[in-house]
Amino acid sequence: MRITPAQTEQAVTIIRNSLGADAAVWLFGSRTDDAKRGGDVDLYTETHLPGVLLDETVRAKIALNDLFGRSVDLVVNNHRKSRPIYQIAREEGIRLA
Amino acid sequence: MKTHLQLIASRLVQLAKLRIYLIHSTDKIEQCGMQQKSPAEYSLDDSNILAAFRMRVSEFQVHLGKLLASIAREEEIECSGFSDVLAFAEKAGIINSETEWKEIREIRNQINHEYEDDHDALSEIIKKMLTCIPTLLKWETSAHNYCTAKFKLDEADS
Repeated sequence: MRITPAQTEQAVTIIRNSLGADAAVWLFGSRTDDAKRGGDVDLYTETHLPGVLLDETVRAKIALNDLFGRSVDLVVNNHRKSRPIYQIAREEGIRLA
Repeated sequence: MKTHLQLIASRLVQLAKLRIYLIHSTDKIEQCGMQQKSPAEYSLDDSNILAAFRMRVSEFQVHLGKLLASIAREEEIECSGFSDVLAFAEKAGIINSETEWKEIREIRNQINHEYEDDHDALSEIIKKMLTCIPTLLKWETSAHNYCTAKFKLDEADS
């Protein structure tokens, strides 16, 4: 996994501050592969908070972008919809919290 | 006129055009009541109107960002990244806050992640984007006024 333990801890804190204290978090995509270099930071989270969560997601995205110094892709699943990317992130990702 | 001032003048002209396009696209969205419609009911025209609106919001903010970077450069502000440009623009009173700039950018990015099957999300994002338009237009006016006052520039100079 190519994010540091400090980044992991801060990313989880950011996500839980915006999207619920019990939000589960995964890293997925190219950053899970130690053999690769660079690449986007893709994070997936599951939360039980209801609604569209637009403001919450925007707030978390801004803080995550600042943390990693680049644009972060944050996929939020609060069980309103079912999408293939949710399953891919869970199956192929690394659970951070 | 210095080459760099010519660049700023040309960016002002471009933004003045983009402002007209953005206002037109915003009016179209509001006239169609897109924020209340279900994506399932979108006609092809509705989808085109929404696509144009998304593009107009994006290009307006991107070009405004380029203008701010050019102004910062002309003012000899040391910028290691775009955050420094935004910090300068906030301090100069051109934008309200760096955070608000980032919020608008993220809101428009969010629409790219939503699919037309999620009516609730799409409606909320469109409504939110509509609330951002007056702010973007105000910032463009502020940037224009700043350039006129500081560099004695106007669109007519380009």
